[in-house]
Amino acid sequence: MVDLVGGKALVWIDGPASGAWNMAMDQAMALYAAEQGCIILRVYQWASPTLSLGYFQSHDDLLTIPGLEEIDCVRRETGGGAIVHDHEITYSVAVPRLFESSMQLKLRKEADHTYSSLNNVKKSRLGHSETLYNAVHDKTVHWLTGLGFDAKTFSSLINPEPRALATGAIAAPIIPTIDNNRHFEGFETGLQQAAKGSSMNPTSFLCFDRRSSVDIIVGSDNQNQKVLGSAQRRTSGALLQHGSLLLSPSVAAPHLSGLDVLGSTESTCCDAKNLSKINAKKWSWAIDFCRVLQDSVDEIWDCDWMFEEQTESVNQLARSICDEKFRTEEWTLRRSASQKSV
Amino acid sequence: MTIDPKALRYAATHEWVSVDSSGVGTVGISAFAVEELTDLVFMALPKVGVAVVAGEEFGEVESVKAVSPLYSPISGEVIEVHTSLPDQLEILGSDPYTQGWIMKVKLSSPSELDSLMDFDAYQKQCSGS
Repeated sequence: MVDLVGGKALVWIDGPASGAWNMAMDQAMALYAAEQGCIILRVYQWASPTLSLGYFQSHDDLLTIPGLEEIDCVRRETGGGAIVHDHEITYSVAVPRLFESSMQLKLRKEADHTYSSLNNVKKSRLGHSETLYNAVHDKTVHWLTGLGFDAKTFSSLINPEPRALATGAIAAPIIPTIDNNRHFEGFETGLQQAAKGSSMNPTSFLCFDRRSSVDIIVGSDNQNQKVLGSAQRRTSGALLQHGSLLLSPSVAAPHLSGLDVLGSTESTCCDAKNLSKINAKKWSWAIDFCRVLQDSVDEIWDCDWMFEEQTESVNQLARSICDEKFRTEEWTLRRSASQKSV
Repeated sequence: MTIDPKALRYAATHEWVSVDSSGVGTVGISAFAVEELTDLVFMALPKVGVAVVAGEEFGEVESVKAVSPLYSPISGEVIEVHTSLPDQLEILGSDPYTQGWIMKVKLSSPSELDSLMDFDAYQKQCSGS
């Protein structure tokens, strides 16, 4: 491995918390990563089913979908569609802005590396970091495949040739049939969107009803489900990426299968007896997924990982962000009809 | 009026500014930035009347599920905003320097323009970054 960055990187593994706290801790993490000049990886869970809105989504839209208005709601700092966080493992990784130049250096040095195509490395630090998306999602596909899941990225599902970029329209030479029964009426599945030449249907309210090329799909071509989606936020000091790995369906979005359902022939959806089994497995899933994420980051930067708890100063910062931002109605409702401005 | 990109001043963060004789700066983002951001889907603009500061955020864009800040190249008061732009972001791809303007600012510190790059310097940054 080429050590271009070095230095310690932190791992925080957190138990269930509220949506406002989780989003506040992610923001605090990004600030702390920028200040300390180190990469931080966090794996966490949710205290109760929570809907997180994408940064630009309207709160009004959730009112049109039965059941969603009854669960907790928080607005994310990142883009994309809304997510029902329930039986899932959530991750976040914060990378100091300066580290992105070394990412490019390493990729140039490792010419035969999986992520080495310079076409996939942007010249600037503008917009999304495709490299970080790809690193996490490719490693996760590899891990899930090893566990026996039929996992792949959406781009490989519709275009088995070399990786399509995460952006732009994806050519879709073969369009498998879709099981529409597993989707909300009126929503299009990713493959239907691909058939129209677009990788993303902006009309789908829920992230897991959308497909972008790096999303991880499990299942056969005509019975596929998205199980991992990620989103990013750039600040002046750091890049934050977080994402959700669905383990089991939520009562608030029962049409979205998780790995438990997709990995077996029997449905475990919303079954109280099975929920205890799922919850019992969450910690081992979290630990295993964390290792995968560490490996993903190590593909780009060589890190000296240290498992630590957040310092009191980080907790204080998160508390402050939580109270002043993510817990307020002003933040959550900011894109509703009555509050349409920056 | 068509804006010539070679006559603009640029920030390292890829925003451009064109200043008229009355001290009003028109601000946008460069063609390079638009291409790098790719697939813009949302844009948040400042309100008319707010003060913007050179180097600080004045808006945000979303592309490929990533939210990124826009940084003002100049300081001053926002006197006009291209309010229809968020609904037709494709303009940024076709004409980022004229129809794709984002906001107009009454400059409070015209000397800040001296710290911005000219076209050649900006092109060099883009090719070397």
